[in-house]
Amino acid sequence: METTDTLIDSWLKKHESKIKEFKYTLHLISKSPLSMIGAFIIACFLLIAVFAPFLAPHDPYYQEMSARLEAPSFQHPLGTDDMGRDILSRIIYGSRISVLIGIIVVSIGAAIGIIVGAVSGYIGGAGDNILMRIADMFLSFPPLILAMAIAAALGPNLRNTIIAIALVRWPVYARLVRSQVLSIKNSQFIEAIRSMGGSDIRILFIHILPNCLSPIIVRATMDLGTVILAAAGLSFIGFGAQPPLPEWGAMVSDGRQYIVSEWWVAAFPGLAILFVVVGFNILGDGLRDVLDPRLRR
Amino acid sequence: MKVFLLKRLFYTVLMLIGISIITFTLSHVVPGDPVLTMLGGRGTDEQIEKMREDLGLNKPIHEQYFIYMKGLINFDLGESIRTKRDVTADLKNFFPATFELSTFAIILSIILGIPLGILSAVKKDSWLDQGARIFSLLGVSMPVFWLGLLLMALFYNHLHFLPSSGRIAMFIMPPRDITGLYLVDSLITGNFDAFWSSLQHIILPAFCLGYLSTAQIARMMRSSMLEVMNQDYIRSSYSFGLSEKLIIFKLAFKNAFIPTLTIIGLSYGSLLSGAVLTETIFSWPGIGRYVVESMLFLDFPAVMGVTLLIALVYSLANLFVDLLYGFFDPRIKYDEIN
Amino acid sequence: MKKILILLLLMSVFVFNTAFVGAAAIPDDVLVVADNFDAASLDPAVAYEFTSCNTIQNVYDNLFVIDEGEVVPHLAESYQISEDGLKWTIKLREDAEFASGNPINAEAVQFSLQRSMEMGKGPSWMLNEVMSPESITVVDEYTLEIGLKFPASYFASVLSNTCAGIVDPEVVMAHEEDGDWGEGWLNGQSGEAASGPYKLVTWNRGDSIVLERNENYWGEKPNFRQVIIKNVSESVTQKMMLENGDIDMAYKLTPDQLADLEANEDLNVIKGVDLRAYYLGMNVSKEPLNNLKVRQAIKHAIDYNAMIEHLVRGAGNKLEGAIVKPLLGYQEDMGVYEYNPEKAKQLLAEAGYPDGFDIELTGISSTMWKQVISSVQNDLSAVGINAEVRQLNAAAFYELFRNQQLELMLSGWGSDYPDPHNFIHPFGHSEGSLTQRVAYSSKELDDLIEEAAEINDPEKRKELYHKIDRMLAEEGPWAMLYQPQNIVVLRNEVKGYEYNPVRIFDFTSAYK
Repeated sequence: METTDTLIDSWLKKHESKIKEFKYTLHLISKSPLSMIGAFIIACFLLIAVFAPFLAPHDPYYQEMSARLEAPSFQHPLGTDDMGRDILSRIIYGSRISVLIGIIVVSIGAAIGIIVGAVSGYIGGAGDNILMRIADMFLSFPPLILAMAIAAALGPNLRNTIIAIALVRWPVYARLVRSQVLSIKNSQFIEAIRSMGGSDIRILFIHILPNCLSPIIVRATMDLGTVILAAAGLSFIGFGAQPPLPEWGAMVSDGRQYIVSEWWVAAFPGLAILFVVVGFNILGDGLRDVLDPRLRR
Repeated sequence: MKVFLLKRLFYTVLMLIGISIITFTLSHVVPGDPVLTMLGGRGTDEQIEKMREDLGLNKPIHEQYFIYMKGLINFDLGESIRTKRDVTADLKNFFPATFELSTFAIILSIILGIPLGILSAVKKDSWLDQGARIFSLLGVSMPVFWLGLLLMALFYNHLHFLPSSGRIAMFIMPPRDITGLYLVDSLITGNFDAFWSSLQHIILPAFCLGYLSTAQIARMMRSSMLEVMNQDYIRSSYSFGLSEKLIIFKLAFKNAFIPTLTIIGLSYGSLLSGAVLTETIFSWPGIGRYVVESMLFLDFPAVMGVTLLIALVYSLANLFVDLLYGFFDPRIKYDEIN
Repeated sequence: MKKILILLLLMSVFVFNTAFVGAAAIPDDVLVVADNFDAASLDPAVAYEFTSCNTIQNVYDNLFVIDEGEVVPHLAESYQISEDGLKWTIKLREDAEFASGNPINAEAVQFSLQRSMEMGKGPSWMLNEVMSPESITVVDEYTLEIGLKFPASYFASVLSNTCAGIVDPEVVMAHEEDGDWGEGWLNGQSGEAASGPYKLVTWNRGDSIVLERNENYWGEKPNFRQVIIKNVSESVTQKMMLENGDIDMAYKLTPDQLADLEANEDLNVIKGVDLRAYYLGMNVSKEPLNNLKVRQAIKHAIDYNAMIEHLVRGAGNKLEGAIVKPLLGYQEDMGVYEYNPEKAKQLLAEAGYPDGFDIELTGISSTMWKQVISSVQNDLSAVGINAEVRQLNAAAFYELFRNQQLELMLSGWGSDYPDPHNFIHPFGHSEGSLTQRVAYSSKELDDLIEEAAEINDPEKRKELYHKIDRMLAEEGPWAMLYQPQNIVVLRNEVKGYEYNPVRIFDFTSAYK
């Protein structure tokens, strides 16, 4: 028991400044109303996704052919869709798909981007040039068209949507990380470590990358919204999630022919997308205000 | 300057080659056969074989790629499998519509976004600022396709304000084809009926398409204005008693505009590809819809053509923006930029 | 700053308030129709999509046309069939001219048919199946002789297809480029080459097609000077435009819009038979679909009536056989299989699958097919068959289909020419376009189908088709879902339009 305590104590001591910093950041976040609203929306969204089976009033896949396109009522608070399915339940279950897409795409994109960006920025020279040209190429690729081509090539389904969007998103992180690495690389602090004989890999991963973390977190938070929008757009034109999955973009697409008469079929899933993306964007804005040292006065 | 331009052009060409390889590979590993789509499941084996041969689909992929690149050097993008005509002809047909829509959209977003951003920054924390920020927040969060549906239902179906589809009213003959842009052509030929009609037709899709970039521009403008206005030289300008107008427009704006310019350049590229969704909703006869339909048909010469064209326009737009930097900030020396 | 704001406000007020000129009334001698374009070519030898074929039926006349379900001579004045059914002698009318003023004579007909066959594009197979380019001979200025490969009794019906439309040889060949048989030119301002009631003036790809009255046409002259066919891809937009009077007619409205449309007093809703059959195919080379009992179970598992009543709001006909209404041999109630989930479960148990099985269900991606597919998937799961849905783009679908790689598939078959042979052969003959994709073959059916194709006596032919259709329904690899109806909606100003299932763009009799 004692040994663990001392271990923890020594760890705490060693990282005292960092922990203080982290606590201060948390404090700032909790003081920022913007971040709190965003965090609240996202928390709701995550809770809905986790507890979908308990919250959904109906089976999201259950079709009632004689109850197609019913207006919102007590039984179906948001109405039924073109297959007679309960829209509320589908939106609730759909949140799981959006969380999944958002998190996986951003993790893959950020992982590739961080590695490429860090290596590129650290090695510099011709290697840097080549890597950045490749990133530029992906950036100037019309994103929706590249994603469509990938989805068409691999077959339209959720997994391929994720791959497609991740391939389009990574260069953003690569450029971000590279510029951070460049600015830190030549600082006196790194010079000092290098003169003490720190290896390149060690310097890069232990000393440089952790210092780039805050802009990456800000970027990733905002990106979650962008990614959810992109996935919904792909599904809307039929290159994303396949029926009967309750993906929000696909649900809007299902409802587009009913927008004038049975407006609820397209309106509510669209509203759900809007809410979640607004949530990520507010949270991202708030985090940026807090984490960006230039704004921290 | 010259070195800079040459370097940029060289990179653009390299990038286009890269993009062509990726797109070509992707479209050729796609399971599916466009010939069978043309026949809708009918036809004899000999007929199918002959049609494949006519299209050059039975050669190995690298050979097909070299044939394609050879054509590309002569500006020959091959023949579309779906529309059965030269892709260059198709692009000439559909690109002006998309170009007009996205250019109109970017102009609209500059006209709306920049004043909004400045106002928001100057009157920080006022109701106006709050309103503008909410407007921008919605803009960056709104699913474009959903917004399009709502706008159409509201302005066309309920209010009968604006038309919902196409580029021009049916009984107004499109203006004589000079640039392919209806707004420009009708002005040149002095055809005001055509001008009004095209203007009314373009507003909804352009707003829908441009809302995102309006929001991005406004946000960027606001934050860079705020940053600039916090700097010492602006504060001291105030203390020297310079008028607020002069400070905002002469000093602050010019410096705050550069980051916004980058956003404008980037937005323009994404507008071109965002047109895919907007055009689908507003029946806008541009390359966005063309590429979706071609993709469903596995019509790769068409998909290649569109991808390369958009990538090219995107890089040119960014190059243009880079050149504009110099105009706003004479300190920039191009040959030092990588 | 304020000035800018005011300017902006003024500008927007100006733009929004100048009355929306799009709503200018459509002139009385112009008809505007909306369709969802799939047109890829307006050359009769190449066109093989709905919009393009429907459009050019107005532009290029045929030797025979379909009128009230009957094949009747049109450009042909009379015809004779030899004793063995292998030689057709066709006499043309002598008063017919192209828009260019050139006579429509035997040489022009020979050229047009040979052109379609030699070019070998999409629709050419139906001509090449029954004859060869060399077998068409010119007897005199207005008489032709055509030798057939086998005594196809439905030959006249094939000649009514757009790919047998007559073009002006002189003008077309004058515009030939790089051996394209004038195809490039026919896709543009090719008015001169027209032989039908209208000529093609403009084709704005993806946007509109403009037709103008052909003053040289020999038959009844259409009332409208101009017909504009407008591409409006979303059904909801078509409906709004129709309600606002921005268009006169719309062709791609959905059954779910019917209630609203029918309630609107300005509109006239026509629900006409569509010569199409929607089917669920079962690949018999795949386990367990090779088991007859399993196939029968699937046929019993689907709630056809619910689909017709709720999914398409009554705009569909029940179908059990492959022949659709109103073709020869169509039967209203065959009574071979109907919705009966209990029986389906029992059959599954008998076949050795009391707990059902897993299978793939593939279709083409579109909203319409999505609805049908979800509905079938739901019905199958009710009897224990767990179908995993895949919706593919058409190119991928047809490739897998062709290679017999699909298990259960959903699709539709539309007629090329209105004859039962065009349904029974693809659905029943082991070499048929559909049957071979599901690896089904029956020697008995093959023989009967070949026999029926050569019978000239309608009564005898009908009897045979009844028998074939019943055999297919009992043992075949298809669960026929339903026959859809075409929903054509016109504004009341348009009068006199007569719906013809094989010529839905026939506006000759319509007027305002």
